[in-house]
Amino acid sequence: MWSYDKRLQFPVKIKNPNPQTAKIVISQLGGPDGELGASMRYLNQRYAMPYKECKGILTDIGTEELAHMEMISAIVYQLTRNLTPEQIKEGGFDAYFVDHTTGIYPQSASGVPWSAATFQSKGDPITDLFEDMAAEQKARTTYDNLLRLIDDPDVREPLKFLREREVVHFHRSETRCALCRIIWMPRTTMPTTRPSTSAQREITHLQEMVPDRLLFCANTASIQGTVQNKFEHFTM
Amino acid sequence: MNKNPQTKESIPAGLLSLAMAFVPTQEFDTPYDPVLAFSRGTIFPALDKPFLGEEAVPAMTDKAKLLGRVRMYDFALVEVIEYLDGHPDNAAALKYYNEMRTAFDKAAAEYEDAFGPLTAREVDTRSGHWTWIDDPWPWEGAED
Repeated sequence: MWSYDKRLQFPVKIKNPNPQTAKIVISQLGGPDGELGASMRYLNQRYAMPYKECKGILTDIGTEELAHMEMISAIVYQLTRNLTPEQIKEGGFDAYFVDHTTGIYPQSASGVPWSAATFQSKGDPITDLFEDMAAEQKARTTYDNLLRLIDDPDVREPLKFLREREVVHFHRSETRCALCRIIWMPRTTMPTTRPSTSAQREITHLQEMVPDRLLFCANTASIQGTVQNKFEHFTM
Repeated sequence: MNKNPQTKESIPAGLLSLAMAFVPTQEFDTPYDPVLAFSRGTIFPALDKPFLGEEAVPAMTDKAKLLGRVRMYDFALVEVIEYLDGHPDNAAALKYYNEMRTAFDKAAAEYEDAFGPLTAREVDTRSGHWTWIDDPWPWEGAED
């Protein structure tokens, strides 16, 4: 369930149309590391998360990414207003124009339509969270590259804001990593088909190191199930 | 040399494992003032890592309009909510959340009194017209 606020998260007010800039900014809408993929990644992955903190973070970041998608669309929309056929051709926007006029279509800078193949939802919390961290860095690099190419301050300001959000969201992985270690440790010490003595020692060790987390872990049926699944999953 | 403040040990050595990535625990330090936080894209000074070493600059002082304040407090809320998701018992963050929510509610009410609804559930129907659909829409760049 979602609701809409009739405002952008950060203002986008572009005075000068520029189809050349629109052509590259659109990658952060529908490109391989864009905001549409970011939102879909978080919002689809959250169902497999075993911890309440992870469910919360993925829900709220995934929601914020929708607002970022709207900002990118607004930038592209404003950059392509009131263009003449000459501007469209000179700006290299003709290939996009012939397929979409100036409608907003999620594609990469090179023209590849957005695809769910740009992200994963693997059903394994560790795998998914590491993908999220990598995705934030890939998006940050893309914003770096856009800032290297774009001079217009009207476009740069919202892009700088969005870039900083990638930095913060990467760091939100801090908690997710801490939680994941609980699952990860038994997995890496799992030499046999059943929880070995050494793996059991590892769990006991973890319980001593992080009692608050393990309390949570031990008292929740779904978490116990997750840990158990890890053993069975890696049975050879 | 090699004095990276982030190397401070915040993870018990016994938990450091091969083949895992580790990020230091983030304390809830004194956040930026909401005006500055919004222009920097984060409420956390420790996470303010801009491109090309830009300096923090006070922004929006010349356009301290109602919507700017709504955005600013909403942004502080977005940020602290995501922090609280991972630190659900942090007293300083909980206090900050309450302060920002109060400030947001006030700013949103002032904006809506003057300029109309921010959500479809806040529409004043006394004019006999459904003002929700009135232009401009957010992406049109004329909202403030």
